Parts: sequence; C-alpha cells; structure tokens
Amino acid sequence: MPDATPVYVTVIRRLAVVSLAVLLGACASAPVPSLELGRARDAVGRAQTAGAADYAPVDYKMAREGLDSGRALITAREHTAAKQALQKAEIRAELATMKSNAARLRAEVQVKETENANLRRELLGEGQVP
Amino acid sequence: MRKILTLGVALVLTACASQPKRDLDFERLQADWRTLDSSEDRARAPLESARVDESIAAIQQVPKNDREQRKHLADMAELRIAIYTAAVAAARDRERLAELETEHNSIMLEATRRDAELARLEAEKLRLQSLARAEEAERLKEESDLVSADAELAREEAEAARRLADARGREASLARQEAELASAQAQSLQQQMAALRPVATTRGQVLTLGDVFFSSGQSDLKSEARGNLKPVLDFINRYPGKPVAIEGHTDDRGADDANRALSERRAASVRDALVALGADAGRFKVAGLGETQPLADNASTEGRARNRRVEVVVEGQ
Repeated sequence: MPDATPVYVTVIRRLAVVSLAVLLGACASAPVPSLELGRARDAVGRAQTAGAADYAPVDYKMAREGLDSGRALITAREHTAAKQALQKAEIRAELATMKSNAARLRAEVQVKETENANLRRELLGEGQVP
Repeated sequence: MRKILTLGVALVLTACASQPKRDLDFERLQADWRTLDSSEDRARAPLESARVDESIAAIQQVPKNDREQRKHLADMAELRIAIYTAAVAAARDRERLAELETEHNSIMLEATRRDAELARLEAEKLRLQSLARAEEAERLKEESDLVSADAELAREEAEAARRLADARGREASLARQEAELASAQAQSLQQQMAALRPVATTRGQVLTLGDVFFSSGQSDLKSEARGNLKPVLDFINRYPGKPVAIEGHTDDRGADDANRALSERRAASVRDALVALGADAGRFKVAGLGETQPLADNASTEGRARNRRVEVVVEGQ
C-alpha cells in the first residue's frame, strides 16, 4: 500500500489529540472526590465504633452531616465543594474519635482514683473520719 | 473634622496596603498553635502535632488571593489543633492511669505487708501468751509445791504453837492453882496466926503453930510464915527471962527417925526465926518429938494435919 503518510503529520495528529484531551479536562469540573469520600466514610465509621455518638455527640453529628453534604455535592456535580466538605467531615470524625478516646480515659482515671481512695481507706485505714 | 478625615484616609490606605498581604484567620491560628504547642505535649502526641504543622504549612502553600482555599485549610488546621488538644489530654490521662495503677499496686503491697505484720504480731502474741501460760503453769506448780511445803511448815508451826499454848495454858493454870493455893494458905496462915491463942497447961503457956507454917517434908519455915512470927515473939516476950521449949511434932506417916529429925529441924527453924526477930537465943530449948505425942487420930487427913505442929512452951507458971 502506497499510503505514505509523512512522519510529521502523525506527530501533529497526536499532539492535537493530547491537546484536545487536556483542554477538555480543564474545561470539565474537578473529578469526583472518591478518595475523600471513602476516607470520610471510614473516619465516621471509626468514630461510631469509638462511641462518639455518646462521648462527642456534636462533632459526630457534624461529621455525619459533612459526609452527607459531600455525597449530596457529588450528586450535584459540585466536586470541589464536595471534596472540601468530605475532607472536613473526615477530620471532624477524627476529632470525634479522639475526643471519645479522651473521654473514656478520663472516666477510667476517675474510676481508678475513686478505687484507690477506697482501697486506701479500707485496707490502710487512711482518710477515715474519726 | 480633620481627625475623622485622617482616620478615614488611614483606614483606606491600610485596607489597600494589607488586604492582599494579610490573612487574619491564619495569624490567629498560628498564635493559637504557638500558645498550645509545647515540647512536652508534642512528645505526648507526636503524630497529631505533626499533622497540625503540616496543615499550617499547607495553608502557606496556597496563594493569599485564593481566600476560599485558605479559609478551608484554616478550618482544617483548627480541627487538627482540636484533635491535638484531645490527644494530649488522652495521653495525660493514660499517664495518670499508669500512675494510678502503680499506686494501686503499692496500696495492695502495703496492705499485704500490714496483713503480714498483723499476722506476725498475732503469732507473736499467741506465742507470748502460750509462753506466759506455760510459765504460769510452771509457777503455779512451783507455788503449789511451795504451798504444800509452806502448809507443812505452817502445820508444824501451828502444832508447835498449839503445844506452846497448851504448855502456857498448863503453866498458867498451874500458876493460877498455885496462886490460889498460896492465897488460900496465906489466908489460912493469917487466920491461924490471928487465932493463935496461948493455952495454959501444967507445963506452962503453950502456943501451937499449925502445919501451914511448913511445906510438906520441908523443915524451913515458909517465907510468909516467917513474916508472921511477930505475935509469937510478942507472946514469949510477955514472960521475960522464962525458958522456952520449942517442940516439933509430926503425923505417923514415914519412918519414926525421919519424923523425929524433921520435927526437930522444924523446931530449930522456928527458934532461928525468933532469934532473927530479936529473941534471946539462950532462952530456947529445941526438941524433935516426931509422932510420939499426937493430938488427934492419924487415920484422918484432918487429924494428921492437927498432929503436924510446932509447940512453943513458956515453962513455969
């Protein structure tokens, strides 16, 4: 086949395709923040496991709402806003988890302090009202 | 008016100058972080503090005119700081829990030590008690031995005392009897002395001294009789210069010779007593007549008593 296409034509064609793709990508909105969605979802799940609904109800609620609004924004193709909302939701969920852990530790400390005081009183006879 | 104008200009200038350069949210955030950040707490929550640093650095990467992105990252950094704060609190409580666990163990250890000490004291107390009981038992045994020894001794002493008391009682009763006897004799002696009446006979005036003047078998005058011889002296002095015969008599008990000797010694005793009272020794003539001249029947006690006598005879009319 005497189809002799010159090399430069091929190069130009390829360049044109790539340029078009780049242009199209730039014109379209930001990609779906699926990574952020997954992270936010996992973080909220960890917060729930940590008992955040009881120990840090406000932060937990905000994290869940952030996750929900992130999903809603994805549906609305507001991918940039969705990404920010999901990032915030993830960190908010992380905060709720950390607060829950801290609260549980605080309660443990209080139990232990009471226990030690009782032991001192019962076993060592200290701090008794005469 | 001028001031307001100046202020207004200044405001406008400031706004124009700093608006694009300053991010107040970011500055506040950095200030907060500086306040909270400490090397100790960083050590407590290294991961979380690193995340805060990253999030603050991320804000600085964003151009200041992209205010929306900066605002978003500032919110994120703020949350990171909150997480860091909670993480530090949790770490502190974790440390506190470890302390409390140590404290708990030391309390239990101390309680165990005290229990052991109490048990040791209790055991020591029991040991001492049993020792004390053993000693007490030993002591009681020794004491009972001693007591029986003491009792023996006491019994002996009591016996001795009783014997002594008996002896003393006997002595006392003897003394009493003697005293009674003595008193009775003295009484009878006095009665007899008072009753001394010279009797006129063919031989002359005769005064009879009864057996009460002498103890049985003895030739010496009784001491109380000796003091009562004054009436006898008076009697013989009533007849001055006349010879006086003093004659002893006995009952019929005993050998004749012995009775004669005894009666003579008694007569001599009377003479000696009268001489001692001042009588003239040359006037006396002593004779022991024994049982030869009884006044009464020797068969009765009374008769024998009457026969035992010393007669003082002032001879002549």
